[in-house]
Amino acid sequence: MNALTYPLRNLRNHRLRSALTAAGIGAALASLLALVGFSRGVDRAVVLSLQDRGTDIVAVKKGSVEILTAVLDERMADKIRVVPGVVNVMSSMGDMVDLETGEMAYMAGWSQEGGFWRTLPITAGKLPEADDTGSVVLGQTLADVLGKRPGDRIELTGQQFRVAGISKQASVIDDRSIMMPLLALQRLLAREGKVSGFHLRIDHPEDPARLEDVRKRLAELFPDLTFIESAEMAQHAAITNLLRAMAWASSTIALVMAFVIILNTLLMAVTERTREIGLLSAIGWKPSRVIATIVLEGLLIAAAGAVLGVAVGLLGLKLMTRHPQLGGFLQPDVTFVLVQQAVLLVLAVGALGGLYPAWRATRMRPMELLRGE
Amino acid sequence: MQQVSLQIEPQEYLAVTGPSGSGKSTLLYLASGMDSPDSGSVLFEGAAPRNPAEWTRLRATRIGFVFQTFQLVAALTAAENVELPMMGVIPGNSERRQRVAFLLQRVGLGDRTCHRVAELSGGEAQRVAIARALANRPRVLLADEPTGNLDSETASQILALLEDLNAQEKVALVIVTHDDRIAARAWRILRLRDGRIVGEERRKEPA
Repeated sequence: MNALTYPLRNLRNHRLRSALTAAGIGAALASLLALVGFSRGVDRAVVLSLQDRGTDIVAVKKGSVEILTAVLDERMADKIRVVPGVVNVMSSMGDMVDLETGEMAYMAGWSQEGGFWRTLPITAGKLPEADDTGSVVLGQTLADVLGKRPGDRIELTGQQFRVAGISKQASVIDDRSIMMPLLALQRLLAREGKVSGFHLRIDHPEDPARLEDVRKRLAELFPDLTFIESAEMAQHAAITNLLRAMAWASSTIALVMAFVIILNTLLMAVTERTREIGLLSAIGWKPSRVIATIVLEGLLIAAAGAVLGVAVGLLGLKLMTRHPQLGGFLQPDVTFVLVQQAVLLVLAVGALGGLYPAWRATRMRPMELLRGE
Repeated sequence: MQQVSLQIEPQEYLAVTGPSGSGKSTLLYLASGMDSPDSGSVLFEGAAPRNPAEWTRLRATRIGFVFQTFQLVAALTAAENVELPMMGVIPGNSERRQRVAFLLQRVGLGDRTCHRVAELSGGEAQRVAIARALANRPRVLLADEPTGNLDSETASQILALLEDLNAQEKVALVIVTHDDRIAARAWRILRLRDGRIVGEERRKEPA
């Protein structure tokens, strides 16, 4: 017999209760993986979107909560472009649009400067000409969902556009977006001369010190703007912050529920075994050994729940991302570290859930316990 | 219990008898540190344990307890029940297994080691409980109505086993019973009534 035999036998003696508790914990862990995984997926998509364009630094309006739709003067691009260390500047604008099919999509308007357009991998058709304000490029997923091909028409806020090309992109945001020349979007939104932000390339982006140096210089020269390195952009976007907060809030609720489930199960198990715990004390088991055994029971249920949760969570995410409607929007980012953190959290919940019933059991005298008081 | 003064000698065979509610079981609980007196003291080998932890250590290594209702852990096998008190006392797995096998053999259950508690008869369950009480070679075995839940033939066998252990293993035996015939087999009989000692009869001197 080893330290695990006794708690394992106790759990096996109440198979259904143990299984249901493990299932509850598993559901909590699967929810955590799904919610946090999706939130991190959006973060990754934001960063990927910028990296795919070769953007090193993004400039947005200082203090603006929703940086995607903030309004800045387009002419600031010329002033930014001449700052030492800055190689290219692209003005950009963005907004959400409801399509006639009921789909929601992100519209991105990009200026022609700096060759950012050339980073778009075109899989069908071609890029629109610089002065073509009637053509757009659709992300591959959006084109698939809408059934559009190059040469087709698409209606955006009441105006007709021609699909010039289709672009397959790594970022799920871009892959579900409508990209058009900046002037086209400015006219569509009646915001001529205005932009949401600027994408900057610098001379030595591989050098973090250089990147920081240029960023600081820009911040001094343009106090109305905030300059953010691409890798950190996800931390500054309101939508990603909101998603992250919601994911962790929901996960915390799920974990609290898992804690209550474990606490309830072990309290029940300990109450049922009052005499048995009295016996352990009567035969010379130290309170610490009794506590360790009950906590181990909690840990074992949590571990079973963790295995179940990871399996169900990962399988569920895989199935959801395969769904044509969801897959385009949601690309979860579930890393080994996230799984490890989630499992550790659940194990901590299991140990904590066992601690109180165990402590309570060892507070009584063996004689009282043996009499089942 | 009131005005109780009692000394248990090494290797002694003592029977505590009296009607229900006379304090027989309470005396055993006090003697094993499972209950503590409001006043007065309990000494083990000449010293008074200072706290519950010291009593726990004594119950693990020096005091064996046998209950009327066996108090076996239903989830475990006979062998695992016997091994339970050894956890944390005998560190080696194989040493524990050897001791468990020896003890179950000693109480006549060498062929029932892997049986669950539910598969054992009353007599067998009490034998497992006795083997468990002997797990860490105690100096004294406290038995609270050990035959109370058994038929007369099995009760006689259990009593014979306990007496044999007393004689062969050099362990003091204290049996609580309300049966005068069982009490009459002991070297010394202590009679209790309403929590007081009302009579003491010495039938044989300790060796």
